[in-house]
Amino acid sequence: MLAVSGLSAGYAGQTVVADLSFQIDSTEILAIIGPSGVGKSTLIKAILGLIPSSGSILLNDQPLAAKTHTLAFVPQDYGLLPWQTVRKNVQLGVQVKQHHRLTPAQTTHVDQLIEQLGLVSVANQYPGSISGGQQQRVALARAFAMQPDLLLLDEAFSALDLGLKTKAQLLFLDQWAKAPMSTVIVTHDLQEALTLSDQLLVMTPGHAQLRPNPLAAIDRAQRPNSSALFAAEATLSQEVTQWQN
Amino acid sequence: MAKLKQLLGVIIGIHLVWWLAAIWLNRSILPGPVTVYAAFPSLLQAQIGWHIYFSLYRLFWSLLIATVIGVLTGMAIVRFPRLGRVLDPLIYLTYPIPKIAFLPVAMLLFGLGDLSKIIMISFIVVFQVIISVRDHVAAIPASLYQTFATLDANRWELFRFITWPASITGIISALRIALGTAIATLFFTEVYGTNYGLGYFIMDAWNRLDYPGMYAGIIVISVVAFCLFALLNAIEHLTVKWQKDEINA
Repeated sequence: MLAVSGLSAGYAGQTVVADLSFQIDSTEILAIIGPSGVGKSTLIKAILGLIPSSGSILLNDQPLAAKTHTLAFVPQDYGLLPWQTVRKNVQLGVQVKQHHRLTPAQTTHVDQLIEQLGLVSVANQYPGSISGGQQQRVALARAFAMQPDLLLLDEAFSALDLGLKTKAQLLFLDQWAKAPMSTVIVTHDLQEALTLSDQLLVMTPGHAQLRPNPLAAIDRAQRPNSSALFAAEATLSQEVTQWQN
Repeated sequence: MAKLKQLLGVIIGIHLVWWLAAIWLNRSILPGPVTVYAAFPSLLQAQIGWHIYFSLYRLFWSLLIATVIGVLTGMAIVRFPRLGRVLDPLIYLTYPIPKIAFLPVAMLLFGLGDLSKIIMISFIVVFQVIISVRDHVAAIPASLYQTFATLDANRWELFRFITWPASITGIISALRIALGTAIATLFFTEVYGTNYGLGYFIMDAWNRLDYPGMYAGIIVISVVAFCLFALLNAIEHLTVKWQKDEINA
């Protein structure tokens, strides 16, 4: 379980996230939504300890730290090493986390993920020579290979076109369902947030509200085709606009 | 094959221009290609092999020292911003100074032997390496370091997996620029305190009014430089395969 309490963070003396509290279960996905510049990425960086913050962040009742927990972060540009092949990029997540080479079982697990995410044909290629959709799947494979306690995705689907995005989201959900973990997704796409999450953290300037996903009763894989998705998106969009004003 | 044809075309073109210029000038100071190539057997008697060896020896150590200092400084400027704030203006202030003017100082401090020559060349080319490596390291996306920081990567892992591979292209491109400058500087440093080196060979032939020998020496220095550039290309080919893949994608 991820429990954030009284979290404040910002840059150069300016507070971007103020006194924020929420918690998510170890099998839940939280989607942080809101307009650009409202502090969504700042919040995720504060949770990861990449920027200074005050307040308390507990993961499974222990202060969250890269040393004691396994954290997986997928940034907007996927954070892949251009000089390593797809396979090596996926392996490196595990290798760096444990500070030694992969065991044969871990290597097999990586190969399985590469296969399940449809990356076998590009496994020996470099990230610069594959498509954006494939790069995104490599980043997801690296994250899942670590079997993390906490997974954080910062606009990880936003660079994909609509058809590819839905496909990638379903692929993500398929992998996630095999071994669920506390997951935080930052997105400005309300459809994405409603499709993937259990809870929504709606951020607008000076305002943040945690609320359950109105589609929580519908199976995630069914949500993209559900008529309720568009109705919920319209309602949510209206509310966010009202808060902004 | 196409590259070889292109190279042959350039070589033939240069020789044609040279030949026409020699006919037009009609002076002993510019002998034609045939006269110069006829002087090549005499180069063996003049121990051209040793001249090449000494020049390569000085170039190797100069570039090695400049690369080690340049890479460490370039990386440190980016990775340690406080140090960068001190070093950056210092580099911009000293980079444009014509450092060959310090040759008498180098001779006084380090003698007339190889040490002053190597230090002088290193001193001149190190700035190019620093700037190129600094720019390449500064261009590494922050998201790479952030992703690895969340994996609890230590400083060595950050260097090994991110900073060093990102710097290799910078080092090679810096060496490519530095090599030309280093050879030009080598020529100046080999005119004193030595009887070996291609710079000495060319100047000695000039002083003896042996113009065919002088031009033969210039051709040898060009061929040596060409081989060194080819070697750099081969190193690049082996070390930065990923960039080729990106270009071909």
